[in-house]
Amino acid sequence: MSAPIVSCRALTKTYGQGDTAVQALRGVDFDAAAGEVVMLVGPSGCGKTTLLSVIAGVLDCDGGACQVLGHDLRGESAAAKTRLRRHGIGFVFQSFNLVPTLSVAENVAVPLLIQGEKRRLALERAREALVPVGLADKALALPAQLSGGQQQRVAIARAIVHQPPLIVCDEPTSALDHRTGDQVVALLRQLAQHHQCCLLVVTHDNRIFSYADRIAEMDDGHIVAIRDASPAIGS
Amino acid sequence: MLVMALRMLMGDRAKYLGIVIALAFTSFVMIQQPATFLGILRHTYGFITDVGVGDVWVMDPKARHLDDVKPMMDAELQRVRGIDGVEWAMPLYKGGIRARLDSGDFVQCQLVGIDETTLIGGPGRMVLGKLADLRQSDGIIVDAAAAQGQLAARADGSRRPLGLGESIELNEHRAQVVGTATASSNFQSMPTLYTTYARVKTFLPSERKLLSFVLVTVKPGEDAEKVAAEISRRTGLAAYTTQGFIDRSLRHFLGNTGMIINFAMSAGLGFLIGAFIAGQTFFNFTTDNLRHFGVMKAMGAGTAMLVRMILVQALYLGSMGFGLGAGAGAVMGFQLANVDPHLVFRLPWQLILGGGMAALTVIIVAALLAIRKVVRLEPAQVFKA
Repeated sequence: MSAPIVSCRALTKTYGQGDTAVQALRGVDFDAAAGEVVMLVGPSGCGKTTLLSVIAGVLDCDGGACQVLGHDLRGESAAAKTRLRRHGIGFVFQSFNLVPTLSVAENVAVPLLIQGEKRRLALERAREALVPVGLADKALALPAQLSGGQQQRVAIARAIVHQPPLIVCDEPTSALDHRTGDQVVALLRQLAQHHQCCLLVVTHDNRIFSYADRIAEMDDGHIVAIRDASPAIGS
Repeated sequence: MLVMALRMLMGDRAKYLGIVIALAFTSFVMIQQPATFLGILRHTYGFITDVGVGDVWVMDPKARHLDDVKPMMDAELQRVRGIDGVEWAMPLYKGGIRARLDSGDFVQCQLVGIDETTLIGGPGRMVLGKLADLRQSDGIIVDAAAAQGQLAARADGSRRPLGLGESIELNEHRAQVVGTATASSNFQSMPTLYTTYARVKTFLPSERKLLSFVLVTVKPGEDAEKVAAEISRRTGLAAYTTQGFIDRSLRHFLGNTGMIINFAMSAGLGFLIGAFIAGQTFFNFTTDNLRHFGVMKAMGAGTAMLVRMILVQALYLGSMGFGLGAGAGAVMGFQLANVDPHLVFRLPWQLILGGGMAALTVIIVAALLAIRKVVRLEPAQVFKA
């Protein structure tokens, strides 16, 4: 395995206090390396999204250690975590989360603009990022003019446009039909391997498991098993 | 990202136009209502500014405001002239008189009598004729709006503007129109007629005291306040600087006329309603976009960047809304005032500035409330479907 991008040890996270407290992570150990596709799977409420949120730096853990891209997230300030997300992490969401009033290219350019890139250059790079997802001709379209699969491909272009070493995906196929979901995950895997970035995917969808290098099964706040998978497509 | 913030704003045309229209409505109310209110207030002192000359107004000490005239003896004029610091002092009559028109109708008018020699206190802007023509026998100058309106009724039932050379009856005395002039409307919307102080005695022979005011100009280098105080001390009359008399008249009407307070309340209510609509609409717009701000926050946008985005949206909307609303309010107000001189509209730069500041405050407050939500937004929420 190449250098670890993510390394979590004895990670804990509890929501609420007292009688209403819910322990979402109960000492999770987890690693992921560059160029690797890891899927977090398990029943609803098992802690997949909480683990993904902690690794993505959008949620603080209560205990344990979490190293992401060389940063110890427990010791980092909010501003440092914001910088880490800005430069180091790409996001793909279940419901796409594209801004409906911006064009496809503008949506893809958002991470670059957040980094402070000039608008013209950002849009230029956004158009380039639309080529590998097959939507170069839709740069000026609005998200509402695209199908669900196309919108998720725009979201993928947005996640890779600034070439982050880590991409986190939350249920990227749950809003798509099987065939489209298959294409989207294949594309994600292909791009992740091309850019040598680590891809963490939270999913319920066992039809896409074959695209993973490893599958981490979670239950009740623990990782109960980590197994290698046989990718459906090779690198 | 700031350009992107504006693109986000304008991308949804229906919502964008809705907010702009709401803000324009607020600004319209904020400009139009107070401007009309200021116009009405001007009625209470318009005569003073129309006179245009004189530093100090001297009157009976019991006179409370411009229309509350307590006539004085003519001898008071000479007493005022004898005070140190007085450059010159002129008599001024202001009172009511009934005019009988060609049609036989009676119209209550405001009669102004000015010094025959200097014609000081006459109307500022003549429309027809010359001010000096007032010296002609039976001459009067009529306010131009009344000549076309209240005084235009004819014996044959028609209405024709009262023109030069025509006559009306004042207290059974013939008065010949020698000119028309622009005059501010008074609070009772009565036509204003100008004549000489001496001729007032012809029109009102039964009055023993006719001197309403003494208009005083102080000598160069003298302080008007001090001269006014000296006149009061030496004569026992009330003397106010021009601005002091305007303030006194305004205070009286504000304190004693329910209509003005009611109008001010209605203007204030209009502002509050407009402000609420505009603020609520912008707040809703931002909260509708909360998810997108959350996504940007997750992607690494700092709170300061999101705050700047919302403020840019707010400032842009504020400028657009205020520009359109204030512009529409001003155009409508001035157009209506041109059509009917009794409809008053006064739009000083202070009101435009104040309206702009108020519109800005409304939108900034709404933006701050929205910003509060954005600042508190947890980026982890974006993972909830």
